[in-house]
Amino acid sequence: MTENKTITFFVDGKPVTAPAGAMVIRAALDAGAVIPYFCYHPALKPAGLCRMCLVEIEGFPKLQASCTTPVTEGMKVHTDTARVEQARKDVLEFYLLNHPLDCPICDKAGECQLQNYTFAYARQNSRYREGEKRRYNYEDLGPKLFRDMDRCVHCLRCVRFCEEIVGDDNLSVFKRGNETDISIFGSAVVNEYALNIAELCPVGALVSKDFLYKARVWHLKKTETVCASCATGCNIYMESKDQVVQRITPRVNPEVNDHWICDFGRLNFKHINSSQRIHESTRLEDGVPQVLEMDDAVRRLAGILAGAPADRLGLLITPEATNEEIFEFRRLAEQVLKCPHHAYGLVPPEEGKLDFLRSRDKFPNSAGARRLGGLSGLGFDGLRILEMAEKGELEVLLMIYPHSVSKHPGGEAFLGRLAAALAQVQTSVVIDYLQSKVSGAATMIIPGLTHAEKNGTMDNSKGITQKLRRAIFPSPDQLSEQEMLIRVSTALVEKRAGVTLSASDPR
Amino acid sequence: MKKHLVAPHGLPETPYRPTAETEKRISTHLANYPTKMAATLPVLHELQEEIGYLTPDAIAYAARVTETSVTHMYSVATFYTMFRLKPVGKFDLQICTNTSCGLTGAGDLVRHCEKTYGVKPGQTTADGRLTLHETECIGSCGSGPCVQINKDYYEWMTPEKLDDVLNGLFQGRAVGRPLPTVHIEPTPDRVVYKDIEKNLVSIDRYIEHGGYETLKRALAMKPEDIVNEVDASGLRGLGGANFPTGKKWKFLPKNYTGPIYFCINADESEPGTFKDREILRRLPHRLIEGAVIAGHAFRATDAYVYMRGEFYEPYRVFQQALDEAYARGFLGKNIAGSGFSLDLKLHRGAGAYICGEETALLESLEGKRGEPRVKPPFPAVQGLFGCPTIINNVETISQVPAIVANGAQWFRARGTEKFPGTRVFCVSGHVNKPGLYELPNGTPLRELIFDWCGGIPAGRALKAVIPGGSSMPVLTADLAMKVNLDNDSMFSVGGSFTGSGGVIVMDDQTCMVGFLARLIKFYEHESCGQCTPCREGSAWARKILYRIDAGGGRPEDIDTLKAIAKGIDGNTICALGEATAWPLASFVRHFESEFAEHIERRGCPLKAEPAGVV
Ligand SMILES: Cc1cc2nc3c(=O)[nH]c(=O)nc-3n(C[C@H](O)[C@H](O)[C@H](O)COP(=O)(O)O)c2cc1C
Ligand code: SF4
Ligand code: SF4
Ligand code: SF4
Ligand code: FES
Repeated sequence: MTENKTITFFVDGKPVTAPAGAMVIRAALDAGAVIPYFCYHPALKPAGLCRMCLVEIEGFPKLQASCTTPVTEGMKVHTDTARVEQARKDVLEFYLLNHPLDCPICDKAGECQLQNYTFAYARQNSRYREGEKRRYNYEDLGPKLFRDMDRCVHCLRCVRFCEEIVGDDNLSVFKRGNETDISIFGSAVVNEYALNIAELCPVGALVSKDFLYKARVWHLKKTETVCASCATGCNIYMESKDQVVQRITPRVNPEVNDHWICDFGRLNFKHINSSQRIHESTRLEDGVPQVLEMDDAVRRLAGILAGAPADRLGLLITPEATNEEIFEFRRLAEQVLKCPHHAYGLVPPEEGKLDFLRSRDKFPNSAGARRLGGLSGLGFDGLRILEMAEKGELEVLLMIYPHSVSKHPGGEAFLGRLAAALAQVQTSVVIDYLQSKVSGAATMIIPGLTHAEKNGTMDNSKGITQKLRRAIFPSPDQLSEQEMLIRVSTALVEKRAGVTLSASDPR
Repeated sequence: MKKHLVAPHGLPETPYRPTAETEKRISTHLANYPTKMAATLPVLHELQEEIGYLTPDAIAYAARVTETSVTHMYSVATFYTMFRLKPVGKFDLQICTNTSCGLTGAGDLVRHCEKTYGVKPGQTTADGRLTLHETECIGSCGSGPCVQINKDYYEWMTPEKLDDVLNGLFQGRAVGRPLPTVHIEPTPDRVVYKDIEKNLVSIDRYIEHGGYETLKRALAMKPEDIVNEVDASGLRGLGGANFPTGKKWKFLPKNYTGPIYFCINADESEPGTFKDREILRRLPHRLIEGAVIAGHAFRATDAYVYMRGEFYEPYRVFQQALDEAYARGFLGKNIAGSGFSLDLKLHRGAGAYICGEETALLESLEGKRGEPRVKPPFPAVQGLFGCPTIINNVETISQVPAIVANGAQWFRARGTEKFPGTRVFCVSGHVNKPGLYELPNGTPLRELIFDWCGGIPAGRALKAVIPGGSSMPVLTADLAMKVNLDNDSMFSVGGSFTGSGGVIVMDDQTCMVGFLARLIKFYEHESCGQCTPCREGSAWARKILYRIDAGGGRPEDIDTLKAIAKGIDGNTICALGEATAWPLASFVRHFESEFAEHIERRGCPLKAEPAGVV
């Protein structure tokens, strides 16, 4: 195949090598040239619609769309000639004829290609004197997206994405010419990836209902992290303002998620401030919950664990945990407590993919759990622990992230069984960030952190270890799960050795 | 805040089921193409024929049988103007108000109908009898003004004649036939139009006059020899771009054994062009013969004639000719015992000028919106259904039998060195004898207008000529007197091209602003909308031109119009961009003082009422 061949061509006089067959725009952008574009997208097929990317190529009488012209050996491309600049001015002027220029109320403002190019390349004043502009109705495209066609630049990235990546044509082009309408017929745009369109849209024509009027994008703090909603581990930005996550957007990683994330992952931040969060440590005293300081709760936890014989102790974590947490959990279970009944899930995680991106495995770190803990204790066979609890064979049961047990197939039933089994257990402790039937039945609860609030690493389904980064801060005295586990282990070791390790603890 | 609206389209509960006959025809259409989707247009046509318009359940039915989606169907249906999503009156009167018909009185027809029947364009009379529409060029410019009522064309219309026709239709009276149609001049040495007056529509008559003899000889020739002969003849494409035909055929990949498609472009929608329709309805077998010879030459495996949807009568005639040709073994398997097989099928468009552009034509044939493709790849490499494809105009292919019969040298004896042979010039507008004139390429334009067509009527003077279909730059009278009808002379002297052979003549009472306004409205209407300069630029220019025409011109408008033309020219995906930019730039350049005068005097110096509003 010719694809492995590289060729040399020239961008503004500078020699550049590129794979044969690459489009001029890609090769030139990679070489650091500046070419404006709307319809070009590295993951979509070339379309040549917007005509923003026109460049001059020696030997071609007309300007060429750099997104649809393949490079050839020795080709001489110019991106900065007077002709090119003129064409950019002209094309932008055409765009702005009918554009509402409502940036002050447009969600895209601040990250809008039209806005940016207008500042960079457009003519100072429009020559449009016709008053009336083309107007469409606002349109509701379903639960996810909202359309303001007036702002559309007709790049068709939205339609092409649905067609080429998702394989769904609910969103399509209707009518023609100056009346062209990007819309739906009958069925709303409900595919699992629809919200990617809001990013793909270079302007504010298709906007996310979820993010609508939430924040101005320049106020958002972007944290590079990964999605914790399934084993794919898409790379994302968590974008927050005033310590509140406002939206999640994809971060390009060709090895993991390319340019996309699924809508579930994108919207999976609502729990952070939900009423289901566990905010304080509590302990049941004569059936009445008593609030504990976090330090106190952890100290008591160490005492509880130390007080039970190892074979009447059950320890359960799920692949919701980071590698660091799993590691500390294993140390505690295997080395400190020498407890055989510890597991990393109730049942083994599912494998395979739901579609081009989403994994069947809804846990973010099954691979990490397998790598760091899978062979110790009961591995993924935590059902044993559940059965022991049901039979009343356990005195103490510690569960980390029990709410996530519901992510196993048939998980709701497991959750119910687990909650019911706690009646047979003397002392049950839950560390979790979300309430569940299980936390409701436990004798002690310690609040945990969401993935937005902590650092760590997780292995995705391909076995790639990725960094989770804190996007927002938890309350000041909140400990991370990792910290809790370390403190418990340390306390137990100290107690047994009769020494104080914490004094020399650099932390 | 604007009102939030939900898309108003809902789908019905009960599925639609057409009649048994329609279903049968639909299954024939479905069998005509390698993909089911390709039958989209024919299926929609059948359903509209049955119901009168496309109901949502008909759209859902079409989606089912073509194995596409309702979204696809609705997306396609809204692209083509012939598909109606609302019912129309019993008689749908479409008055062509485009260039040539506009020049010959279409405006009077519209105004007359508005007065007489009490409806504005787009409206239906209260009794549901009549819907009035203004339409774009329907390819009958030489006998204008021309109207279409339901499926039939009525040419040479005047308000009185139109009333007669309509009253006849209202009362169920048959309209006396044959109706007068376009004038075809019996020029000497005709090739394409040879014997056109002899009524060779039936295959027997055609064979009596020597038809299909060349085909038999050609089938015995080596394909390469035919390609070389056509190449040596210097035959050029007559659809608009005038690309050498033999060269085009030679672009097909060598040593390729998969399917090769052949599309014959019978979309004929370029305003001022009306030559192909006469071949289709009067000499269908010449085209079929040419198609089989050409198909044999470049080893086509399947051929389609893409005919514009408005051509109901030519469709019927041509379909019958196809049936006869199949019956006689000139089409289908093992043609005339040669071992060569070719299927030639008829595909109807549905009202979109852009589908004449070759790659839009391919998209349309595949059952999609007629949106031009980005080139390369060129169709000869990757065309219909992804296979190598040759696209030629009807007239181009109708030249082929004579070239193969008589040889390249014979063909080259006429015309010029670079543009050999004869071709049909379509003359419309302000001449005494508009019509079709097959003449050698290189004939002086003056000779065509003044000698053949009898000059300008009513003792008026010549003002301007568009020499090659409405997309080509206009010539002033001065230039028109100097140029010859071949591209060398046309370009070097007049800065224009012979294009599709449509010669539109304007007399000294023609308002250039009004004419151009109407023309640019056409290009706006026909823009597929894919690329920005064409979609936005044409609408902008149209707005400015109508404003000037209505007396609201501003001094800066002239510069703006020139700038718009420049912003479009060369910056678009397909040549519709140039087709907009060239007339726009050339009219403003050649008649700048007239535009300036319009602006200064706040209206037309030539006439009382604005002309653009025909
Ligand atoms: C906007 C546009 C409209 C066209 N319309 C027609 C048409 O109606 N008929 C036609 O034969 N060619 C038309 N053409 C030219 C075709 O693209 C193509 O060049 C031609 O069919 C090739 O055949 P030829 O080489 O025999 O001329 C059109 C081109 C453009 C850009
Ligand atoms: S809605 Fe956005 S993505 Fe879609 S065509 Fe318009 S500008 Fe492009
Ligand atoms: S596919 Fe998985 S990892 Fe990616 S965004 Fe969706 S839930 Fe998150
Ligand atoms: S130039 Fe016009 S007709 Fe051609 S592709 Fe672009 S928008 Fe469509
Ligand atoms: S990026 Fe090339 S035409 Fe849009």
